[in-house]
Amino acid sequence: MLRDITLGQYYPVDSCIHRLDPRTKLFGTFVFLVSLFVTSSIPGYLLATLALICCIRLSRVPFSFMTRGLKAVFILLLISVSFNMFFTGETVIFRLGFLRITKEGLKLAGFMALRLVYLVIGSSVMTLTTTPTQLTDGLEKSLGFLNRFKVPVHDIAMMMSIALRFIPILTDETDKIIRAQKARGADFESGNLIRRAKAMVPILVPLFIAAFRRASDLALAMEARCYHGGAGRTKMKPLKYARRDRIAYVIMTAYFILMFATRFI
Amino acid sequence: MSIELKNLTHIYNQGTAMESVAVRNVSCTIDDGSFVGLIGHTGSGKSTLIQHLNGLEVPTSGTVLYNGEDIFAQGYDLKHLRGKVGLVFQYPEYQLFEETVLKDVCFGPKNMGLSQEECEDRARKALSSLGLDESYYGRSPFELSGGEKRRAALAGILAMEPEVLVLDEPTAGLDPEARQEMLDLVKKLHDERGITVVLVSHSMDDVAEYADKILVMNNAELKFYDTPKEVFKHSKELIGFGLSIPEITKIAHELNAAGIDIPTDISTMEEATEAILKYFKKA
Amino acid sequence: MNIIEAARVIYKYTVHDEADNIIETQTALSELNVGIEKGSFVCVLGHNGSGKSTFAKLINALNLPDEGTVVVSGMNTRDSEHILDIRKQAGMVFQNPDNQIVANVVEEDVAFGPENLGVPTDEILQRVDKVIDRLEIGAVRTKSPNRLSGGQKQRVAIAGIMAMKPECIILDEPTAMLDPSGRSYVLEAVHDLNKKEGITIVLITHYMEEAVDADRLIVMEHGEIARDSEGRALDGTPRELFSRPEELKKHSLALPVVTELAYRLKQHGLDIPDGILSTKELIDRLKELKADA
Repeated sequence: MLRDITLGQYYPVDSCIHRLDPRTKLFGTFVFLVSLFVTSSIPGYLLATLALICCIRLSRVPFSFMTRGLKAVFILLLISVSFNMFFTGETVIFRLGFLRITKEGLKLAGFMALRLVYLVIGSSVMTLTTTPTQLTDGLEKSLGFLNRFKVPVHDIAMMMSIALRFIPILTDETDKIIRAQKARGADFESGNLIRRAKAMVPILVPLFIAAFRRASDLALAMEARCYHGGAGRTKMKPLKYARRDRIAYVIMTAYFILMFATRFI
Repeated sequence: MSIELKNLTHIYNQGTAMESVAVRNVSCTIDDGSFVGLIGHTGSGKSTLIQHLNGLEVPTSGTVLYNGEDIFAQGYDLKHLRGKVGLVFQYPEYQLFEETVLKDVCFGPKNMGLSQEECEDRARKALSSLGLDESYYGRSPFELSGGEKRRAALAGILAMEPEVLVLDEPTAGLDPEARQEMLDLVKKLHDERGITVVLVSHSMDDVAEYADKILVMNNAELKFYDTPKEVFKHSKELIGFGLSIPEITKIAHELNAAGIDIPTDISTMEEATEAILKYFKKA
Repeated sequence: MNIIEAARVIYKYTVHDEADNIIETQTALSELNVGIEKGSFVCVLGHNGSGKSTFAKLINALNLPDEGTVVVSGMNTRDSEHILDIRKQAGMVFQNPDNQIVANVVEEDVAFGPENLGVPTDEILQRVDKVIDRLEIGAVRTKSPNRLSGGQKQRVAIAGIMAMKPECIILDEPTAMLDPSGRSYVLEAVHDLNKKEGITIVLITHYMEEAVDADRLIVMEHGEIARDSEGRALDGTPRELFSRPEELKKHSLALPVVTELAYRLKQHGLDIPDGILSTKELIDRLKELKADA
């Protein structure tokens, strides 16, 4: 069952966002993220909200999928909100024992929370509309300039792609190992932290060995298919910018300029 | 000792778009000391079914009774049950993790709460019954050959001295010689120790030779549960399930169809040889 | 015309300790001499440890011989400039279906080989289309490999090799991890490619049933081609080899069920020729005996 869940949860539907070049989406997400930190005024956040809503609508992915990622950062959200709310600012508006909530703190917490939530949703728009392969291809091509600085961009992209391929397989493998050890009476639920950590050994050792074995097999298979690194490799589906990408870049630029301008309002 | 499955149903992802029924209303009894072959195509539900026998999977409805007790009742000691119903998964060598073979085989008994001395005693017994002598005790399980690893993993379950041994495709990936050895070994354990055996396979040939009864699963349902001879009479249906009858039975059918009258419920090489010779002595 | 020629090949495994000293040397292949004819379907049988997998990996230069030579399509595997060409000509399908699929989508994995060879984009697409069609895996073309059965995964692997346009495919126990339907699904494809495209096939296996349909069987043992008690190599057509059932049994090799049955009947006095390979042959012979009686 776990095999159906791919990292990033690509949602297969046809939309103009889906059809954009992954590089455009990667850059767009980056621009959006930076824009959230460039502004700190209400109009700025309103603009960001508008942009986000537009993208979500255009992507034709149900909103419920967008919010799934929030579960993962819930704790982070809670910590940063509480921190800002209770421990910053001067103008106290509420007291709760030794905890004090300040006006500035509340404002900061609000913006922080908003940034985090938008960060997650914004990234989700990208991962939900881009397949893992497109993502790694996009990263490989756009970070290609790093090759000049001896950064092995192709190798890293290949590693990411293979990791994505094997995550469901290794997840399955972990499940099988857990069951096999449970069948031998292993207990992973009871005991204190130290006990439970020790109980992980019968899972981790076989898992590591399984992972290495698969990696070794795969390396051999890749060599047998003439893999020799990135030099001289061609692609079946090379990335090519289209008109819609150029339009997207123009919109992105305009958006960023506007966001920047809100600093001066 | 007996295991009774009562209206066992298991549904994965119930209520979602990915809902699938793995086991549908299966009821049967596995008698004490029997050797049951569980056959079904990939996805027929056999792997899910056997995981209910030791409580690793919980049924959506229905239950499993071990010696008359409901194993899914509140407060039932499942850990204790797992020492009695030993489940050996496919490619069990992938569960080895300890520094030495002896330590790894001791893992099961240790989890049952036995003393170090008793654990080692049982481990040694289990290993020797699988043909692994003292020279193996101190070695790392990872330097053993594939066949040796598998036997070490099996020893890990035997050391718990289970009453029931459930094996999921124990011959997977083995060459014909090793395959035969493994099956003979399982048969020996059954005969000598009176352990009840449930052998899951998709090979009718394996199961025909050793099982008292064959349980056939198809699309989550129990289709047949009878002696091999009776089950093989349903050859057409078995083929429809994506299974086949043993090669030798197929040959018997074909000989019969060609006018050489030998019984068609033949399921072993010896029976076939005898029957054909008998036929020609007559003619 | 031999497409693969192994001459006086010796291959050893050395086991080192932590200080890099050699503890043990195992000889995996001791003086192997074998030639594989172009277009033939050769089955290499043997127990684990017989050297058959080592031999397979010598053909596509994944292993290099310690002594002797291996020549593939006229190229010596020791010539490093030819390694890519050799691997293109002699493709290899491995035992574990999952551990040889690189990409996240079936068609992308099929394209992996051609991409590595630097084939131009348009041609890659053409090759991938053709090969997916050939192996009849069009229905799963855009699926993730995780959704496929074992047999389907192996067909994807074969497609990936075919996309590189090899002259020969070596399959190292490709069906060992599959169920019976998966096994026949894979073998069907392999026989088809041999018969219709003339691809030379070297099938490493331990399933006797797979050997029955081959042009030639080679039995390996202890790093060389096994010999019978008269010194003849256990290397010939299936009928030749199965006509020597005693010898095969001496080497702990099981006979196909019908061959075993015929052998036993003969032992008990029925006049049945050696080397019965199919049920039909047995039936025909038994019918003759019935008519004679």
